[in-house]
Amino acid sequence: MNTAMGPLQRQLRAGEYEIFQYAPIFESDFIQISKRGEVVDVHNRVRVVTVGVACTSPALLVPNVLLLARPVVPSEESRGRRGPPAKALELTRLLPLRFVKISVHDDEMLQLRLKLASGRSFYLQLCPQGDAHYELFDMWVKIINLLRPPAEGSHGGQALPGDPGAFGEPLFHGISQDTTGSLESLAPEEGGPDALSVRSLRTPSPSRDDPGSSRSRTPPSLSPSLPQKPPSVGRGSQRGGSAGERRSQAGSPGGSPAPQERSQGSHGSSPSSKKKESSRRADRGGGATRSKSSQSRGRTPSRILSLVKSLSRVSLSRPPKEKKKRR
Amino acid sequence: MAYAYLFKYIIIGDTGVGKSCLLLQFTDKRFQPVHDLTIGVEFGARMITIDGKQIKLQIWDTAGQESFRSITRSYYRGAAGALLVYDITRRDTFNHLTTWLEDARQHSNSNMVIMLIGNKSDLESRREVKKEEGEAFAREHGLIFMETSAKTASNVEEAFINTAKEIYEKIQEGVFDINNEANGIKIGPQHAASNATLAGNQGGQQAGGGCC
Repeated sequence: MNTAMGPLQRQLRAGEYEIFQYAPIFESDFIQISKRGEVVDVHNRVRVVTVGVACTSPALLVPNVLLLARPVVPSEESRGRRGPPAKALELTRLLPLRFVKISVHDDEMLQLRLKLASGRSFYLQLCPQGDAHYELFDMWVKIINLLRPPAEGSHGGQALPGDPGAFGEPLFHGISQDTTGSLESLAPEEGGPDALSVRSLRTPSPSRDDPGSSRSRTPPSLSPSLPQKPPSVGRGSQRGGSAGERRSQAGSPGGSPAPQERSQGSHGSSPSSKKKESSRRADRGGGATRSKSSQSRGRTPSRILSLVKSLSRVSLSRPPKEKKKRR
Repeated sequence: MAYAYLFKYIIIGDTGVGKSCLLLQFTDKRFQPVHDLTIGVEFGARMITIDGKQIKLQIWDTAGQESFRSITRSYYRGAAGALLVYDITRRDTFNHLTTWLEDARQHSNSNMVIMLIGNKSDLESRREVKKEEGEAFAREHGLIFMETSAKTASNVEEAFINTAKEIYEKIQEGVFDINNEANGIKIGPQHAASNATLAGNQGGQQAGGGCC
């Protein structure tokens, strides 16, 4: 079972950003798209954005910040070395989750919408993850449910007073418009669907309560759990197998396109094709069910599973009134 | 890229004074006239050279809008330098400096070097705050002062680099405990071994830029 950290978390582990050095992060790579699901780039190249939800305080029960990063263009020096250069990321933004609302834009196309407190909206489509990306998207859906402000859900008081970015109360009073953003500052010229990640979230230690000084208080048990090898959860990698087959069998009797084909097709997919996608996936059932199934099959990183389990526990206490049902 | 030190900077000040534009000009050497409202923090980084040493500036461009301040001020901690920015064409942004300064000093370490910046110096015809007023405020509160223009790049390099020089001097004087990362200074991996010999290594300072 893969228990590796994602590239963003691994990079932040190096300690350049002290507050995130031991922050648990759930991260995935997304492609930035327009509201209509098209690639936002005149060169018709995908812009990969690494999106992670993180806890900057170990005392928090839920993530409090959204981190955005982009691939760094390899330097001439690193290009000259043998073998592919290590994937380097550049942390670009920290968005306190109090000021951003994450929602499912199109669950068939695995698209999320980030709506900032300024009113700007950004649309992101999960990068192809082999056969596991539906499960991964389901986890994002669970996180989204968890991150609903108390006004939308039944659970409140998750955040501690004074926690940076925690959503004790919604602060969307600044929203007066719904504009679509281009995430210009997040648009890399390099990278593509190959830059994939299914990443981990560490369960924070309840004994630590200071977001800024977690470094010195990190339990030693974290170190042995560092990955022995890169996650390598790219398209068509070790995730291929029964989970994906199950999807294919249940959801696409007529021959569903491969996950990456879905994603690539989304660059300019028509509404009718979306309807077909919907009908193909009609029998797949709810996300929680699928995730549970995937857990039992041991195809998902254990830390993500622990997150999802914890999310599920929280989610049970709130009405699923806004959850978009997959058809 | 390897570096001797990493300095954490914060950029603070009222909304619309040009904080993000200053960052963009410093890191990318370009001016973007229209910029989205910053929510939370936007990060930038650049290598500079001081006294022959590579120093990485890790810059936290914070939201200036009042609604976001209660959150973003929690990220001031661990900053070695701060750029406190006002807009010379908006008197109110100058009037709010005291509040920003109190916030910065309350939520970061006492040795943090603060550079007061009067931005938009290219808009001379619309000036509402005299340069002398900025200088007087800086003198009164122990800050460094510069007027800049993110649009024309005037003094932008100098503002960031002079702040780094001041931090570097404080390191040399032993004011900063460089082994305490809460001071916003991180020793680079290749420099850690020679750290012990740092004291007394003063010399002429040359600064130059280069994107990291």
